[in-house]
Amino acid sequence: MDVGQQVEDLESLIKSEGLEGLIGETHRLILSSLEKGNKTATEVLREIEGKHYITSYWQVVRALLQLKRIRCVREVGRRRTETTTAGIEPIYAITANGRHLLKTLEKRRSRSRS
Amino acid sequence: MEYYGWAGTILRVDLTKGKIRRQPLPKDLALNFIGGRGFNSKILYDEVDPNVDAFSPENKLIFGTGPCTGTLVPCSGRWTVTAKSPSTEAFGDANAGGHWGAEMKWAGYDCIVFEGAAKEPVYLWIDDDHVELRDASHLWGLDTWETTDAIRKEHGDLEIKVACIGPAGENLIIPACVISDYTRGAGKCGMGAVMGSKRLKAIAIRGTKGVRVAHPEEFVDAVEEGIEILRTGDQWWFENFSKYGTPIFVMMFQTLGCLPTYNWREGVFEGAKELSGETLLDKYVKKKRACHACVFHCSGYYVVEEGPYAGAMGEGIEYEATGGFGSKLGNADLASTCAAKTLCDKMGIDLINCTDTVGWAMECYEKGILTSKETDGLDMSWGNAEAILEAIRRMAYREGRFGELLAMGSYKASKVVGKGAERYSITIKGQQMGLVDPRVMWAWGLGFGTSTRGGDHLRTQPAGEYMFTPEEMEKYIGTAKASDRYGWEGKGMLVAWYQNIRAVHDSLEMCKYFFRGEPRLYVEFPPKVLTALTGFKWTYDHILRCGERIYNVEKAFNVKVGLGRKDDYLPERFYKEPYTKGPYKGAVMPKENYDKALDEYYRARGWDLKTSNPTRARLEELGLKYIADELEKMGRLGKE
Ligand code: SF4
Repeated sequence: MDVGQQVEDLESLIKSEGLEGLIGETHRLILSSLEKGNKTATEVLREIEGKHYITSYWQVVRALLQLKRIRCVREVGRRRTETTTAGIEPIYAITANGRHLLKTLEKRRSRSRS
Repeated sequence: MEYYGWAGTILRVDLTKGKIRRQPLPKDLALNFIGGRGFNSKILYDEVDPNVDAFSPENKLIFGTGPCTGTLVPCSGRWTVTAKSPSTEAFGDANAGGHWGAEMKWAGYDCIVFEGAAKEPVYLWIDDDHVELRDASHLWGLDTWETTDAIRKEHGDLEIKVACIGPAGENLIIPACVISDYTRGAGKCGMGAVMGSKRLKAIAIRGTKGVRVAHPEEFVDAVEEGIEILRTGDQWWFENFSKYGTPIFVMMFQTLGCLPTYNWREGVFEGAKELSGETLLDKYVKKKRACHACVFHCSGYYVVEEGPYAGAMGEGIEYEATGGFGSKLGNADLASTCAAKTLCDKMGIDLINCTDTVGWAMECYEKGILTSKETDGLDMSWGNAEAILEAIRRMAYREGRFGELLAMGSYKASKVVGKGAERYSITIKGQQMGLVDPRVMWAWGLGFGTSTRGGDHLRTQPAGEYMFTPEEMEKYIGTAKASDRYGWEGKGMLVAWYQNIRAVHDSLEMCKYFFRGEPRLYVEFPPKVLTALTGFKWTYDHILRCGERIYNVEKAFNVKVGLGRKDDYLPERFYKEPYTKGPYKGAVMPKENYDKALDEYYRARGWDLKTSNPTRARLEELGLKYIADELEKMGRLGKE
């Protein structure tokens, strides 16, 4: 899949999932955290808590599931956790789509800062 | 007029004269107040003098269903009961799920308004168009389960749906609630006590008419689309809530540091795991049940099979039971929380008021404000499960000096006890709070403070504060800042929006859990489904405006009673007493920040910042000119 194809896929995926205008800084922070290694939502939160108003585990869970719906992250395993009632959490990895989205979001961010 | 969605009839029952009459549903009411809570609030405001005693025959007791009640709309089995409240001495209502609401709708009624008071105990029997008041002297004194069984036996029909009071309501205790379907409590604001004051033991219904739908195909499409958005857009919630139900909140709120513990002193509990949804499911939940048309089936049917609480059983064991009788009372014995829930259901006692009142008594006991003399020898030490159960029983029957005290609810009891006991009554406007600690959940705090029925989480239930992403917050609320759960900015806007949309959910008579973490459901679902169901064209803006109108009507009732900004604050504990342990050790909600959030909230509502009174401009915008005129006459109209 070339880069142009990925962009097209992402845009239509975002639209078909009803996520237009809803993918932003939260998702950039999560993707850059996953770029450094596979993580659970708890581990991602530990790294990004306090940035961009992110102050709860469930904000991260929700954003991760949105990223999963547009195939920017995928589940690569499960880990026991103290955090949730379920006692088990998925481990997420960034995908090729995710890396592309990360670049796009980073560009957007540096544009808005300059 | 022929209606779709609504039944089209308000039933009026004069208990003093024993007369029953029917009134057609006014179209204006339907289109501007939606149903259920909205109808009830408008009727209460228009027909009840806010200054009457809650137990006087002049108070009215109003039961309402919504346009969605009894249809295929997910989680649409709810109903609301409204009256002037004996706990807040102001606006009061309570809401429950189950199947009774659907039955009332199928019998053909949007509202039942009880006026006056019967001389002797009665119950109302509704068999579609046949409505009669029946003698209930043989039912008086029975608990809610016995009452339901006896009425069903009397009519030879196990499918009859019954809403009733137990000994608690008969004895006019403030924490009394109305119970339907054995275990579904309309808990808030002492509605069971108002029902008891009218000597109305039960409302038993057989309804067979169904609900007319204007555009059946579009309606089914809208319902299916809503379920799909929930299933895919809020996958985590859909899967986990279906599995665990509200007991999932024990560990969720422990993680967030807001699990009320030791009468709200701390936000984490050492025994949380023993109380968790997972433990409950493993040990006691035998199967899952659901309210009418629910897609979650969150309701655990539980049985305790062994140990000191063997035999405790029931349905709908919730976080307010496992957390309320658990962490809030320093009690890690999950089986005892099941037993306490069963006892409350049978007695007809609201779980929140009960657990808070017992928690207040325990803290007063610890501090030596209440001694074994005042508790009639009961050892009210933290975590004493036996004492918790005995306290509930004495509360229901007003047994002894301690029972009389507990029967007042913590707010009024604390005033009687004095000696600093008021400090440990964790109430707002006299009403006990749902189980979320505001020290680390600021929108929840502001929602508690500004609720029109006193310290209540459900008026606002701003789940988006910890579930919406900042991007969703920006798009739907107008500021990402509201996502910071320790920041005050944006909280006024968020809470005002939530209160308006929750008034809509309560008026549709849908369960709030359907909407919880998915903003698209809040915005897209109600207009689509209402348009297909009722045949009128509904937009999101119009619907949200209806919610705001309902909120303003309730607020105006409270303004007439004399409530204002001073009453919109939290108990001092949350501003002054930091947590002493846990991940959020040291956390408080600084009062100056609460004040700023309150200003922002009143601004969002178009109310006077100093008094909190609604302004003429906003009331007129909402089509409530007559309320503006009335408040002006009383000198209680807000300044622009
Ligand atoms: S989610 Fe639970 S409380 Fe709500 S309607 Fe469904 S079963 Fe009832």
